[in-house]
Amino acid sequence: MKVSLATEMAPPFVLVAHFFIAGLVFLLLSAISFFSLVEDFSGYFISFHFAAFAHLYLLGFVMMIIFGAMYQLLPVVLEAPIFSKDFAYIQFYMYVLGLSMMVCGFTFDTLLMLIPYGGVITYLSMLIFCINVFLTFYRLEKLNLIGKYLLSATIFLAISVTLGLIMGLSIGHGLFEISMNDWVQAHMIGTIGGFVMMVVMGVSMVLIPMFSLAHNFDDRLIHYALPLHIIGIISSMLAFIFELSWTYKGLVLSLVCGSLLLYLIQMILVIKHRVRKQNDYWIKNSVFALCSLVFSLILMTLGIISDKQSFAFAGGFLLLFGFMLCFIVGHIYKILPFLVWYDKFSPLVGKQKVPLLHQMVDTKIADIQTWSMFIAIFWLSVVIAFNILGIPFVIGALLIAFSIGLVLYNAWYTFTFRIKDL
Amino acid sequence: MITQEAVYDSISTVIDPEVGFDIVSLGLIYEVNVHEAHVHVKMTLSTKGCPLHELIKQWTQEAVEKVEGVQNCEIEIVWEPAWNISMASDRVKKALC
Repeated sequence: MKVSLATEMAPPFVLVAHFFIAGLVFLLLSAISFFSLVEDFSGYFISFHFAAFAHLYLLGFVMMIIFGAMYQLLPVVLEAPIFSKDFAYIQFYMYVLGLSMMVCGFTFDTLLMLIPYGGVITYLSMLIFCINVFLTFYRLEKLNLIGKYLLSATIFLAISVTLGLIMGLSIGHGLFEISMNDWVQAHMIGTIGGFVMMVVMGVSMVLIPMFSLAHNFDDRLIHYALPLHIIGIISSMLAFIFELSWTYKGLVLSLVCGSLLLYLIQMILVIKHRVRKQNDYWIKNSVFALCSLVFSLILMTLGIISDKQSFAFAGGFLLLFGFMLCFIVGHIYKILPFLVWYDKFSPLVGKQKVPLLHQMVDTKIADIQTWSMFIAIFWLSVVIAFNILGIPFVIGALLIAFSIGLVLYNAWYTFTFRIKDL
Repeated sequence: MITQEAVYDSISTVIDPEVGFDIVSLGLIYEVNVHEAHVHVKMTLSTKGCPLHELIKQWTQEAVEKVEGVQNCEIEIVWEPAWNISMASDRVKKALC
């Protein structure tokens, strides 16, 4: 029997689908949890409400989708199969269990003791992911730029989840006397700046040129950004853990800003060289995400310099929603149809008419979703930056929930697409 | 006798599902050499790291093997010269750009 190398290398659709479906469910839950943040944005920011939302959104949605995407993309980028698919399944179920326990602990006072147990399970599941990725890399003879980004990201993940575990044990059992505020920030820098951002920077160099058909662009900037970002993240994490002065923290955080700036300029270069000129929901989401990153950096810098907390919150909101959510949602519209198509329709190629990938998305709904999300993010950024919370915040949260609902509808549309729908 | 034209015709049934055009119109086929019952196809892909890499290679091979008289087909993927839009047909350029 003829076996395609593509089938041997790529993980089964059902594995990646596990991560994508769970990620979308957690996105819905985080949209609901977002309503509870109305008080947090007005004052103390590291509350249990915030922790529940942050874990639902960042671990449940952002990282879940990244795990799934990495299982799909690593074999393509590295031209080597994932070390173990079984590890990936074990990781998934442990991750969902551990994360659910943590979120319950953060949400209900009576379940507070679940946090350390959930934390340990989540930690172990992430370690399994890291080991799986490290062993996949171990078998490689040479490493390309994207590989370097993904490997560095995974190392940061291993380090920052270890910090998270220490914090979880300290909350539950008073294991260590640590400054929770500084450790939370080091943990966030490692997870968001180290893992999430480095994965995004790496895969952007595959996905953006691939979907936009961009060629012949200068890619030196993304090469320069790599060491700068690594040094910036390591020194920023150390600065928070060892409670150094804000002068030093500002200095090392500016290295991270510098690398992100290089990444942004690199993306502009790629987009300028794109052949496909259609302004579809993918390119709109990608461009909006990149613009949000710019404004996020500006607002966070302003917030730190002027000690205006609401600007820093608005910058953080733009990073999490304007950048990450739009970037991921834009790519879900491309990756999910591909995964479903690959599983359901690729065996039928040459035998009967099969759909094109864009036909597996309800484009009208995708457009409504895209614009409603943009309006909601702009609105909420203003609301948070100028501290006009209450009803205006709830209106923005409702619009985001509506938009996320449309994302879920389109995911359902893609999963259930049949040839007779053509 | 196998003709290059027949091979190109058969390969042009292979559609890239992302862009919606056949791979001949996209200009991904660089060379087709026919030696008796053996066909050698030199081709590229629009991007390195394309998740459809192996599938498109497999579909191309299957398309060539459908041509009457072909006993053996070899597909060679090359990255030089790198594909660019000027290699595509006018119809593709007009639709994409």
